[in-house]
Amino acid sequence: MNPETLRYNSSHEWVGIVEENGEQIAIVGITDFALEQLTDLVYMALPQVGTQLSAGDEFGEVESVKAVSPLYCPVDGQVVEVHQELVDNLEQLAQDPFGSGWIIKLRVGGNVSLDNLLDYDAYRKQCAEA
Amino acid sequence: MAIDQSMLEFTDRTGQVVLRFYEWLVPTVSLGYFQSLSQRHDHTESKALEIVRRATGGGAIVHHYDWTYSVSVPGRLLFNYSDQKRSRQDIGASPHLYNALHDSIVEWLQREGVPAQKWASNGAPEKLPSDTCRCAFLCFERRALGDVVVGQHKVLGSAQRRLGGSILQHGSILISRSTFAPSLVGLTELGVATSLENLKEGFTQSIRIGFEQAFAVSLPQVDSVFQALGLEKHELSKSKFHRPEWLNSR
Repeated sequence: MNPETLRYNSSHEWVGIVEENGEQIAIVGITDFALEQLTDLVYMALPQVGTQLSAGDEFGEVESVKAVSPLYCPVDGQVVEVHQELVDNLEQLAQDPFGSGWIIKLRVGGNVSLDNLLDYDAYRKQCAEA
Repeated sequence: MAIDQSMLEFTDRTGQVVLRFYEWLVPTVSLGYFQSLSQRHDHTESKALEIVRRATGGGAIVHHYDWTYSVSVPGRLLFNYSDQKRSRQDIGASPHLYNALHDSIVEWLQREGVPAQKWASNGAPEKLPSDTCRCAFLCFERRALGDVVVGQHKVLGSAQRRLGGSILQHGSILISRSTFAPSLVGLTELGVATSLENLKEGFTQSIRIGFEQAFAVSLPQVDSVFQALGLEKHELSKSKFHRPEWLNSR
């Protein structure tokens, strides 16, 4: 995914909307900036396929060396795929956070709203102000 | 554990700091959030003990001759008093909070004549094998940057959990060797000479003062954590921490 075309939570999750088999699918991950802050990831917990999520819900957790942090869902939708391989290979997340490091996919309605999310410039500005 | 979680939720809701000290009524193992319950069976000395799962990560702690603290801190304080970029970002650890309390404990122990230092700080002992650092069942057999050690022995470890912008930090100081974790030594075996009463006073004051100085706040003294949280004890009985599925979640 091209980071410049994605939308972002202020809590560092990204989302991109794609069409798969005629359905609107939201692909969700966490940003390179978040990974830099987390430093060494130790564990990750992910939701089950079928879980219904609303924007702002916790959908998973990551443990870095000294902290457990929740991951927040950026959009409403139903989990249709979970990148389970990541759990055993967290390095993949750090290597390609906007590509092969995606975390979950959600089926979203055709009118999914991204208006409450940050665009690339706004997200980068938030990170730069830290 | 349910009280600690309530503290974090209270702090995230109200913006108020809560600091708590506690001991355990019976010897108990607390598992780190991501630890597998099945791992406890490999630690034969403690496998008959009561067991709970923490909301914070890291290794298991045998709570017997240790003292525990927890503190919940709102995002506004972490934002205002952090010199670390990552503490402002709502994800990952807050080194500022972590260091504030651990530095204060190190200074106190040194005043007591105990040569404490933070792991991997200048003059720290050489690193243990990497599997000891990461994978040991017991928290006190692991080493991470900033742990308080005396020689090779870890005596204080802490871990954090985030909720929104707020953080719960939970930590334990090892006072004496327990028959349920005989591989570990505490401050008593490491030569601390003061009475237990003075030791406890020094511990609680160090945590409190370390926090107050690092965040430029004064914490009011409240006798009951339930009073501080505006909670009735029975309200916690429905908490997820009491349910078997929480303990068995991994």
